[in-house]
Amino acid sequence: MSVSDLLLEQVVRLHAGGQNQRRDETGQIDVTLWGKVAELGLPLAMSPEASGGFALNWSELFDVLAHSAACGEPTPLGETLVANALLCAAGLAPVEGPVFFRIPVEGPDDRAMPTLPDAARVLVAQGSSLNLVAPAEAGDKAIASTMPADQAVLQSGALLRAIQIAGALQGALDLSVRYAQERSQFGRTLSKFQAIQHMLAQLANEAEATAAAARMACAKMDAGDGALAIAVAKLRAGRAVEKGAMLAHQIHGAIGVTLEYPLARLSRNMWRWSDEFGGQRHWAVNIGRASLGATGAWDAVIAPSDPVGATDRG
Amino acid sequence: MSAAERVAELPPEALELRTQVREFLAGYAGEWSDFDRAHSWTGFDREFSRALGKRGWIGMTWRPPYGAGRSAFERFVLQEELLAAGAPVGAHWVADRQSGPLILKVGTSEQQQRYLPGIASGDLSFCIGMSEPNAGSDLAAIEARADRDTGGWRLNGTKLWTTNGQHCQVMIGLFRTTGPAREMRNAGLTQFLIELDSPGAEVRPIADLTGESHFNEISFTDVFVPDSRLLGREGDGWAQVTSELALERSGSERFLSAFPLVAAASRELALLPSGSVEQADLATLGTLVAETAVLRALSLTVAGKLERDEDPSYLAVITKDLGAELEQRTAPAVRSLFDRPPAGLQRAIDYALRAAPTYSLRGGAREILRGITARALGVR
Repeated sequence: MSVSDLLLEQVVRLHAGGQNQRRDETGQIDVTLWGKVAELGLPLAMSPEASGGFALNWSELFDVLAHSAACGEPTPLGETLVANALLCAAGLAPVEGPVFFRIPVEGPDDRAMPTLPDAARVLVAQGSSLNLVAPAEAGDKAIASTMPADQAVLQSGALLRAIQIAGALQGALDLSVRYAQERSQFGRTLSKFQAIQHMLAQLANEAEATAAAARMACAKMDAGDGALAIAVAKLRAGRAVEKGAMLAHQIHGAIGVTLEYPLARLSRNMWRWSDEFGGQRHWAVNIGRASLGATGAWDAVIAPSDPVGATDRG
Repeated sequence: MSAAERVAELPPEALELRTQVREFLAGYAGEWSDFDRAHSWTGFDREFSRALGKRGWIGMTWRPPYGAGRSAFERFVLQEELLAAGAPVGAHWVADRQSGPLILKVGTSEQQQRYLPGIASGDLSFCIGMSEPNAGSDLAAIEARADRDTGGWRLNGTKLWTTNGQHCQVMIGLFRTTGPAREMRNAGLTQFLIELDSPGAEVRPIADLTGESHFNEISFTDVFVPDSRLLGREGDGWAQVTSELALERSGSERFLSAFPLVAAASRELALLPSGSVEQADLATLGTLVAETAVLRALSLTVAGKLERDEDPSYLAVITKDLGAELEQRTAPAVRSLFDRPPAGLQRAIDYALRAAPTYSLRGGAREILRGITARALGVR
């Protein structure tokens, strides 16, 4: 069994039992769960061994990241893991506490941050700089940059969000299938209605397409050529959210829109994630520009899933 | 249900083949208009298929002596390059994709010797005899019959929606050999190799929305086929057809049929003064490209499963359903990029728009595919 399989097994076990305390991005994080996650060394899973990490790559961590997102991301595992890898890559020391990403918006920002534990840090990406700050400073203060927020940071964030969206869609699909099998109306379970079956199938389409896109982007990122594949994955993930979240809610009826029901966490996370590290328009324009020319479109189609260097036209 | 599976990586020999295919296709660059290319895999050109056959590019995965035993990935690259270029592959497409593999799998050695070399050379075209006037999505409702006669069988009935049937020499047809449809459903069905110049077989082209005739109605009146033309085993028709359909649904023609329009649009946009393409138009183009790229990754995963002899049908069905949706969105999206498209491209768009309704019908209607996925999810 590989290290990544072992980690997945443990993450699945830790998240089992389901209803974690962090209901959505405005609520508390599940501190108990975080303690167990940290105990396993997971926040350093992507960091080099010299920094105490496992040096796992994106492909190896896909399942762990996706599973945590499918469970509603009760801890900021994905963010912390990626932030630590970024910190290490910039020659800085990884942090112990949970890390949250924060992308400031222009004008008033009413997206509340979770109530964070004291040890937490917030990674704020603004313009060309990326700052690691204490929660109290995450608002509007200008803070000295700890490393440049270059293309690699944007890519890492976008890839993380694509993986998490893939996980959240799978989580939404699992919830929807279960609900359709349990809920009865007109004397039969929802799963017996063809209209519901077809909505479930379409939700599966979106989940599988996003997962394939994110896995493809992981492989390319690991091979050192992530730019186009990540653009494709983040765009596809965002489009899948538009369709997938609505399908999951339609299948669930009114129960799905209550904050108490686990689907709410999934859809709220998905909507936020699809907007972060480049929304659909950003990446679509980016890909469009790369696709211009007589052979440009086809080359851009195959490059993201081709081996590195294979698509250069001679 | 697992979230996803690793996207297979193309091996070096497949990438090498791509260079050769591109060189070969460059020779046709000036010959095909955007309108020709929009016909995609329904375009029928015997000479082109023969040129491919000469290079060993039809039936390339078949074992020797009929093929070169090359990998599913090499075929994958060949097919996608042909489709992306909008090459007229209709004369060999069906035979290469499903008829040949089926004959190789269940045919007698006499049948293999009689048909496979002709397919591989691009000379023999096959059509699919499944649908009937009263059996479309519900294939188990077919009524066409085969009754025993001295030394063979007599066929009676009608096959419908037979793509390019008017140009094909051979049909693999599904016929009822035992009992009536209402009682037997998918039991008692048998496949036959029917040479369409047999007395009693009549092919009638059907004009469609595009103004052309791709579909045909093929009727059989007391058509005699000898015992040696029974394909596989008597009564095994349903299982054989199911394995054929898996091949029919898993290829990249299920999401690339409209791609030549995207390539043409990106070529035209690139001719505009640098920086003058509007952001929204770049986003439209980028979205079409990204969605195609993801389906290509899914399709590559399917090819990997085929290479490993695993069942690819769950992902194949998802790829086809999403692919048809994308293909149907393509013509309107490409049209939206231009106030007035160049005349050649406009003609291609008009054609693709009228061909588009069939994208979510052929090879399994959208509703059938979603039912298959629902069953895999455990709700059916």
